[in-house]
Amino acid sequence: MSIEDDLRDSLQRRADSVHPQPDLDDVSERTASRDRRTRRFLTAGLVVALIAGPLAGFAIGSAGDDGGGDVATGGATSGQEIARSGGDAAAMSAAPFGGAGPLAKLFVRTSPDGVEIRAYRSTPTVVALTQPVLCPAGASCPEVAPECTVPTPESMVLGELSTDTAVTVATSVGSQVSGIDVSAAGWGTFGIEEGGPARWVIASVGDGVENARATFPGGATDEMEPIDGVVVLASRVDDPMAEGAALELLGADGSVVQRVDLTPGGGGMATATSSGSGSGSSGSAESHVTLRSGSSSSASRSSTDANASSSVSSSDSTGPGVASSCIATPTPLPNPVLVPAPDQPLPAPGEQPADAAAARTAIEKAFSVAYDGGISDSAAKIAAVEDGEAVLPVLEAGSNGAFAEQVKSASAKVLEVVFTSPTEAAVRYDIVTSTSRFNGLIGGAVSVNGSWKVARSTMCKDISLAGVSCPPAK
Amino acid sequence: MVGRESLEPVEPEPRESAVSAVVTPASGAALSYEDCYREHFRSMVRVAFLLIGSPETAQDVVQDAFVRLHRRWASVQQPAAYVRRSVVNGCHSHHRRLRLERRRRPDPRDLATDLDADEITDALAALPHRQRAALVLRFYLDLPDAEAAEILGCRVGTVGSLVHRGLAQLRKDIER
Repeated sequence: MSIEDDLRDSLQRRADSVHPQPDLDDVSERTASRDRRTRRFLTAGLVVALIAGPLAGFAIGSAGDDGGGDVATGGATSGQEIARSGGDAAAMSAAPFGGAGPLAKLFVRTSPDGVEIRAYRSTPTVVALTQPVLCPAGASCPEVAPECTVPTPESMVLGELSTDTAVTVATSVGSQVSGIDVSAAGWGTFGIEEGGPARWVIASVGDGVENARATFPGGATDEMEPIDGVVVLASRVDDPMAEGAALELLGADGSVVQRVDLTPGGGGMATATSSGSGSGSSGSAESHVTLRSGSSSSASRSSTDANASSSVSSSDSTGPGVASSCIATPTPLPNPVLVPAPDQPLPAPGEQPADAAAARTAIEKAFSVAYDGGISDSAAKIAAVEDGEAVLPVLEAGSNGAFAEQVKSASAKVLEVVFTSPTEAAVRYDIVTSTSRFNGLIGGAVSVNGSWKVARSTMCKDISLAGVSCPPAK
Repeated sequence: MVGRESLEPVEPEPRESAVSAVVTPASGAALSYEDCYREHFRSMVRVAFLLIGSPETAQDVVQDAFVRLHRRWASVQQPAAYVRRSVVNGCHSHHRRLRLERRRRPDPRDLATDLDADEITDALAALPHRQRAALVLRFYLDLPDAEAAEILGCRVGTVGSLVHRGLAQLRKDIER
């Protein structure tokens, strides 16, 4: 027997001695874990873009400042500044979320126990986080009702907090409110792994609030007068695992007019817990956001995060343009891994179009064009989607948003078409992106003036996974 | 060692379209990721086992390879080739980590501790990774040299050379 034959037999015997068991769940978990790491990396990059760049610009600008007027860097327009911290006015250029307006310094302060806080305000020019972002990826994603869309927030507030060992960034996107009220409040912890945990609270409050006080686990408090409707409070904590904080809004007479319990599910607030960023109990930083309807908020990420987590709580009050029921639905963050095909039947066939085969071909083409992220032909997109002119800007926003890669790499394949009427059809289809596969989605197609198009509701549902939403239908 | 070995697997064929990427060209039938996983998982674990010697580590390497495949599923036209190359690269990376940890050549006994190893197994385990991979691809998977070259990231002629030198070393070790 030759060495080759011996080797072949030996390899075969040895290989046959192992009996591996496929474990797709493990692959899914690994994929999700890797995606979380990617998100953290991107978040860190976003933090750098949001903070480091503007701060560097500010530092450069301040170096040449004579102590008086505005400092504009990086092409920012001067005169957009809002400065209430000792006359140190500055307007800075920033590019958060793909093209925001200037970043203006609000204030710098230090908590009683030495947490340094810097607050800035930016004005995003694109749709920020909306409720559909929290919609799970997959066919079970609910239709986004027009009343569930969230208007572009008026402004975003950034808080940079630091101790001697750790730094983090808190963000809050809230509409301006009047009176003694709070439009968005978030809390979080940082510096856990560094051995010096500190808890922060960031909130946008109404102009009737004279003072805001936060009480942290362990009893420590921090308070400040709102500056331009913003408060950022912080304190070191001994037990970072103790949840939440209490935010009290004080009126002109010094009495507590409103108290907001900032806990993941406290204060009688409906809770929508989002995942996708790891375990909060083991990470070095965590953050939570409380929304007032009509506002959109985002939590912070520590620049030193090993595992960050976030949860979102929504108050049940109503605000402009958003029904409370929209944000009370538990909606975990997308888990962009294997999405199994839902076992949902298509509706029963109805009256068929005159040429069903041609209609099916037209539907397949419409889905192909509408979902092909590589196609930049606006006219073709408009023609392929019902109410295409209104939906096109949303598709473009998705192509330039946080999930641009996925949108641009997307493609759709029609699997099944059932005509429920001569001008309407139910469609089962797959969407493939660079990171995800959505199998067996169910949507619709409509015939408009003899042309089959992807139903507006279907396209709006799917594009909402990219964090953008369609305007209300006319 | 050729540096290219450690690179991310390269899509062997030009991409046609995202949709066609989920179709098996040979059969023309739709092949889902799950189907692909189930079809190739066991054989890939066995290949990795032959290259690494530990069934647990082999399975870990293969799972990671399928994670990478999943992330590129829309653009990979030949999933099986992609996974094979990814697994071989993963095994190489594993050996490299071992070398860095131990600052010495992997102990052949490490590759033979799980089973009743024979002379050939011992000798195979002592070979450099590329020679071992070339032998496994040739004599276990029965891959043509062109495909093995694609996986190893080398020229076709190099595969023949690796196989020749590997066999020569095996003979030498066995006769010893």
